[in-house]
Amino acid sequence: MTTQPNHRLSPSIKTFCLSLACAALTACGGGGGGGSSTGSGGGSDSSYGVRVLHASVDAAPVDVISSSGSSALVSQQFFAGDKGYRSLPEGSQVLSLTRTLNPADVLASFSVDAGSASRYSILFYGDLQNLGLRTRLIEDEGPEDISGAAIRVVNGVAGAATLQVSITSADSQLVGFGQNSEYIAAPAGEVRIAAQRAADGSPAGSLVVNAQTGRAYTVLFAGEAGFYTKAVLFTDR
Amino acid sequence: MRSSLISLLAASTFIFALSLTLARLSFAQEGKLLGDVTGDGSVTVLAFGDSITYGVGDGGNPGDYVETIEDSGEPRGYPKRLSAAISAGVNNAGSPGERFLYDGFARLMSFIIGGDVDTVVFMEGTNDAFHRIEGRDYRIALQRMLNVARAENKNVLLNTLPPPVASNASLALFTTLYSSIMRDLGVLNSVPVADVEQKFRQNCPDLDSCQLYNLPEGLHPNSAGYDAISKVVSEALGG
Repeated sequence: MTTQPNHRLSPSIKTFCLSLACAALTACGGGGGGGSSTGSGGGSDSSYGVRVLHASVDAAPVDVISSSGSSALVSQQFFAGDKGYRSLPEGSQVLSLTRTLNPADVLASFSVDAGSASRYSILFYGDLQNLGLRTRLIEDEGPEDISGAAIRVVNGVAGAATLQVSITSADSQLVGFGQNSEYIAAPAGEVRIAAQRAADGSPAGSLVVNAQTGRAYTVLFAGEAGFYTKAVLFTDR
Repeated sequence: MRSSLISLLAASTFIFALSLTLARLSFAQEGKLLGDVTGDGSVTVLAFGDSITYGVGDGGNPGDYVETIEDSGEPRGYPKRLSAAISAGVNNAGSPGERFLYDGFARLMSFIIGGDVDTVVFMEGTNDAFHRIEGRDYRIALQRMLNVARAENKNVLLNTLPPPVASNASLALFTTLYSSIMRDLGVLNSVPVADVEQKFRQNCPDLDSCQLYNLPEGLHPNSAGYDAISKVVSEALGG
């Protein structure tokens, strides 16, 4: 009687190997101490897929893991970081937002059925003192026709129940906490976007977008009113 | 089931150690911490903290008997030594008696938000230990600071805290906790850590007679202690 070597890994060893691979990917992706977000771990840059809008100034960086894969799609997204979409496997899957380096520490999960041109933003906002940390999945369905550029705004500012946002000379928009505006048509060229807290008019950030024809953008207002806020630009398409 | 748990625990420990090592190596080797990130043509390093940053107790020598230190004197300590070691200006922003969660946080933000500081070397928490500030609160404040610093394009180096000894040994329970939080957040945020606590513990197997402190006061380092801090910080900065 002969025996065949057993090539199957025990569950514990599998767990070890998966964790190690995940940690190595994440650890190698680190960026500078401070400064703009530079971590490059996770999936590749893409025009489609998933990204994180990290708006909570209280929270540590986060990752996104798909049930269809073992490594992080988005790795080490920092507060006010501007990483774009990371490619996503097609098909039904669960996207989990986890704390960086802690894949078992799941902050939220979302079931999606991703196609080749699907885009998702996971908004991560709130605080640890009063509101709690919150998440919301936004299906990024851009405007069908863009003659110039298109810009929308996301309110992730803790303590700003409503933001009053102006985009160049267009009428101001009111955007609730954790919500996003519709896309607003904007001319190509430099476009100034500014937000203030509707309740008292205190500024919540501003930036100038060099808008290009045919492009769509998201501006995330992140942070905490009265402490620190920042406007972050994302290119949607 | 049990073997799975043991493997998972071992894996977690290994991963943490690996991540810590990689984070340290990447920064020490690349020396990214000493750059002109504000673009004003000079590198400005800010040493932020309490009396241990200010340099209280500097000038004392091993073997001196020091029960209390009343006079803060001129600012000195590790920032002065560091400036010579890295050939760059280091502003001593030590404030004796300051607590991070009371007034230190707001003062630090005033340097980080805007301003011309390129690199912040942070070492504060010993006075929080006197007030038994919980680790959760310390962690939240530290993460907030790291988030704002990154958003403001500022470099940060976290210095763990020298463990109080002798007359103040009871504070070490809290300072050790704060130091472990710094290490943890350093890994999560890819922010380098100058492990001053580890250096002191390595040099002094018997902390209560450690020659790096003014003794029996046991809170403030002496000249040898400040030399040791400066060396650890200088290495972490890539100097």
